[in-house]
Amino acid sequence: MARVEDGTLLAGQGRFAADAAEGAHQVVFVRSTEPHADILGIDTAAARAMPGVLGVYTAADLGLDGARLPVLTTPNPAFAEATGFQMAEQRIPLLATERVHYVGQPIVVLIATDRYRAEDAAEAVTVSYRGRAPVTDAATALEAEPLYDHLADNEIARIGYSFGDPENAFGRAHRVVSGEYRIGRHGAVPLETRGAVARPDRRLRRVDLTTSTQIPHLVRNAVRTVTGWAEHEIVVHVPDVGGGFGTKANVYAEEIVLAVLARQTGFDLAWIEDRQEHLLSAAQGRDQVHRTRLAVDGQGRILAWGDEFLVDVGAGSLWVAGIVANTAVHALGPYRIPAVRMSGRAVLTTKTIVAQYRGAGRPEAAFALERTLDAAAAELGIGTARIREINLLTDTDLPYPRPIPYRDGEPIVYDGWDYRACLTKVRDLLPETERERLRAEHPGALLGYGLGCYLEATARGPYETARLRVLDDGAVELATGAAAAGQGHATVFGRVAATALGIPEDRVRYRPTDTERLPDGIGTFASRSAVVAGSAVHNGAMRLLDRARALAQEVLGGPVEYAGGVFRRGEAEIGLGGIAAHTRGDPTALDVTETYRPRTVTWTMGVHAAIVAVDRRSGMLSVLRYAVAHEGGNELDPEIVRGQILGGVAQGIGGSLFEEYGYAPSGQPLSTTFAAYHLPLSTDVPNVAVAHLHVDTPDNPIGARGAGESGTIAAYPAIAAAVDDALGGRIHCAATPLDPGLIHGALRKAAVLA
Amino acid sequence: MKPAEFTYYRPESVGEALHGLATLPDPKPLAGGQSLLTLMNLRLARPATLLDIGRFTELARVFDDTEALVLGALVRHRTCETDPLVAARAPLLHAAAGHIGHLGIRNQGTIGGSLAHADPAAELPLAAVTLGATVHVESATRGKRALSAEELFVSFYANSLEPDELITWITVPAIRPGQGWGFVEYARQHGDYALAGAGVLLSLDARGRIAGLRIGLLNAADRPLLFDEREGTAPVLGELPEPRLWEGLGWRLAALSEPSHPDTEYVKALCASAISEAAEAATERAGENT
Amino acid sequence: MTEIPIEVMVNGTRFRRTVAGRLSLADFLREELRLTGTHLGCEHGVCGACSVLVDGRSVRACLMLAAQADGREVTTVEGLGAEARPLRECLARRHGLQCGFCTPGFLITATELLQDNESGKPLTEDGVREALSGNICRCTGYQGIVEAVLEVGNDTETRDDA
Repeated sequence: MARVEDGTLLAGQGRFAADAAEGAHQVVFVRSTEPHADILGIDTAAARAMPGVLGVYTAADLGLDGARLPVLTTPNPAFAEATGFQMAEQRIPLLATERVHYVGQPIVVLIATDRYRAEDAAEAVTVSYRGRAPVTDAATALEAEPLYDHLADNEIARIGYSFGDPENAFGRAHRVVSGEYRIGRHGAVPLETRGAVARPDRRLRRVDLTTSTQIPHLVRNAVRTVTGWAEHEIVVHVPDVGGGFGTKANVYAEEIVLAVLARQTGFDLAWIEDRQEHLLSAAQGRDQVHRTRLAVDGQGRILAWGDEFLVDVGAGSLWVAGIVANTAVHALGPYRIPAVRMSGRAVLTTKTIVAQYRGAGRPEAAFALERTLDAAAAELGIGTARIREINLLTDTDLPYPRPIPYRDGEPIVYDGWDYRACLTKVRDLLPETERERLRAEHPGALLGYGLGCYLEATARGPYETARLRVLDDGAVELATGAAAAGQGHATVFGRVAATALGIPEDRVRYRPTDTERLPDGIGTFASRSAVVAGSAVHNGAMRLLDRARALAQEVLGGPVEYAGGVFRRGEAEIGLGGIAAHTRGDPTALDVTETYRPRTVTWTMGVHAAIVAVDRRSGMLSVLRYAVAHEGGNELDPEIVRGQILGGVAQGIGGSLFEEYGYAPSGQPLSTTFAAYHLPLSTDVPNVAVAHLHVDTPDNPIGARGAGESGTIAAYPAIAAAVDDALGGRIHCAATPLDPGLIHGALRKAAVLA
Repeated sequence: MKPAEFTYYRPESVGEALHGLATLPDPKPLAGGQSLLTLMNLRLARPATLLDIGRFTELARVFDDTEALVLGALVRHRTCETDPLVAARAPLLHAAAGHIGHLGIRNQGTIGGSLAHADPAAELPLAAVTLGATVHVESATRGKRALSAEELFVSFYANSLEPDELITWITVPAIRPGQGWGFVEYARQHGDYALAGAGVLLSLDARGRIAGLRIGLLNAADRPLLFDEREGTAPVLGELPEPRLWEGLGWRLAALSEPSHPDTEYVKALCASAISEAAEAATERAGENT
Repeated sequence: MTEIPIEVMVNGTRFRRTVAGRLSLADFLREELRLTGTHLGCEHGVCGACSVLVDGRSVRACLMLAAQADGREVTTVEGLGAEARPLRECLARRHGLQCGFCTPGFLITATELLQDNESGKPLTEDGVREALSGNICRCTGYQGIVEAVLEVGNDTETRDDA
């Protein structure tokens, strides 16, 4: 079934940030060209004198000297206590004044009458630098001079916990395998870049900021933290958003500066990032190295698991706490693991800032654990499916508690049904025999079969909001704190509301999120919106209905029946619109703002299977077949859930095969165009078979589990495993993106030996 | 990503264009613009004057000249890819054109523009040197001259044309009986620049022995590399075209390449594979084309 | 700065304007004509979001100057009419779009593909994937898009509005 969103988008009538820029002057940021340097001087005189230029500003010109980006997440104290989580203070300036820490860091902002002239002016701004040594490697960064003066070293966060008796298990295990696994730096790269439009209103003393974001409320809060403005002075609106995937679940200096600049100048201003800027300065992701140890018995049962990881967060990350904690928690995987030693550190380097990217620590953790399991299977001479069968949690294990709390401080209890069923199901969807069948069609290639399991905590809190209001014609206007970025919120939440209210779906009007209509909210990320915002919508609708019922009883003078938006008492009836008219003097009567707080997360588990072809001549890879079986909750819209999986797999394939932000030893970024940063194309992504194994959760009123990241997380290990298999174990892929040169080398070596 | 300021000028004739090239400040011809406008959007190219020659319909023609195929400089990649005449007379060019970028790019990009752009990783320069194409150029002051495709390519994105010269026509020797061709490239993604690629034009004599052999490599040096009977392929003349021969030749010639890719060993191996794979295809086609 | 007079037929309407020489066709459509359905995703010819038809062939509007479009016929996503109706319906039904940013470009490229294919040879999945490989979608994994084009191209539609 088509989505509510589709009609306007298919007509070319979407309203993205750049489409909301009519009449606004154009803003361009002058960015650092140096990975690490002191700023000696900034000369804006030439730029100011250029035609069409309306102003050129440094931090001092805007009163933003010393202003910094506020961090977006701090750990729950109980979690920090239990896991030894610590983090240092980050000082990422809005506009750099004394020192720059990555190429692309904003230094100067300027306004011109059009983008062409603005770019001309940006070229004319001269920033003089005294270079400092770049640091592009996390391990080196640990030894390097601190990149920020307020820090003693470059470690910005750490975590460490253990349970069971891991050392004892490692000491007496049948086998201990160890490895080092690296997942390269890549990121969300939505097809629409970042962009924002700020329109100041002098009479109201407010700025309306329309920004392509997943988290409007956090953007508003950050503007307020920096400026001290009252809540009514900054309203953040969300336009159509052309994809986010985490990089837009971040607050950016550019958004805050734009709001400040609009108020200071009185101009309507638009900043629409171009692709080069995006690849230089929008937050990136992943970039982790894991050193793993896995102890197994003779049958392949896991006895102990150790993972020591390093996260390169570049010049900083407002989400560092989330990324480190996610990695450390999800590295426990969907298995029976009696003893664990886990430690992780996040490190500053002179690369671009980092935020969440679809999975946010989960893919990295899964890559480390799954690859190590495959190594153990090879060591024991058992199949990769077999070792998973032995260790996956089943209905006899679940619900399965873990002896640490989740990030919200609540005890971890995996609330699934039977994780091994997902393995069975995915092998039905894509049997290994399919590999033999495909061999005939691909004589020039070696084919391999790979599996990858994942477990993801979804629907994290602390809360999400929804507002429902009855309009005069009885239709219901709906808004949620979780902003839409292409996931189909209007369709899904509209359906949740319509179902709860018993009215047709076309009687619900979904309004894009803005912080005036709905003053509180968190945002869309971490596979949380459907569950948490959906539950808020559901509960809000029920509350609205209760109120309407009470009012209807008043009007009709006694108990009423309700169906399809109409209350009846005998022959008399009144619809939702009628009640709204009746209570016109009290506009709050049929206007409900609901906050839903999940008790804790709910867990989604799944298994990916891939068949990958390795070209015998070139070592280049193509993914021929793909399947995902996952244990999810109630599907509010099965097609949309499936779409999330398919899109997630495509992103996982991209990260496994091509995508990487490269940096030269000089510290200069190498992936600044799409000729260097390769997104997966229609010819790179196969059709994906998806099976949904339904396991309701009683934890939320709509029975849903999150699935937004499920498609991405296990793609990396599944594809890597398929390549191992294709080469008959002559390679163990330990780093993504997979390197065809390395694979080719292994092929040649084998050919020479043969 | 907007281009720097320039003066746009659209001459009405080739003569006017040549006059413009000779007299205007820092002029650059704009044909299909698929490479030039990309560089300009990135501000890596910033000509003071852009001469839009894209509408000279006479230069968008393809015709048959018995021994050769004649292509106007403004023939689109899409035409090379779909025109039956090109397919029949210059099948290697036809095949190579289909590997360029994506449809929207091939609809606009031109053969003259691609040759002038002199990208060593591009398909058409490789096809031109492999086939021994002749490039015809004109200038307002010195008139016409013709140079071999090999002579055109100097280094990365550098051609041997004088600033006032314009490529007008390209002649490609038509495929002859006894000839076979092959074109193979290895790219990580469809339409992406290839890591390595080879074009092969093979002539067999009546006894099925190698009578002539031209091999081009892309992305293997600062310009498309050519190995022909004068240089590189002479040792196999008179031999029977067999896979082992091609494999050996592939490795020998690949060793002479100088790829700019950091993993040179890998790219050289790919060059060797591309040569042998393309040569095997050429052998098969030569056998069929008697 | 050079100002170039141009006359362009866009979606069936003739527009006479004077443009800066360096103005791209994409910016002309978006900024001058307010046809904002043509999206800028990369401005270097890779992503295909800005695809429009010029004299019936798909081109990247970011790699064409407005001045080059003088005298040409341009069709943007807003100008695709009845001929694109089945494609739009199929894309919606098969979830061939999520955020919708790339969608106009896909509609343009697919329209050209379907026109080219009127000779009647059935479209293959590989052929469709190859033809669409110059348009990047970051949301859907392409599956719904490919299915929709195949369905329309091969007229295999049997469901909703048969």
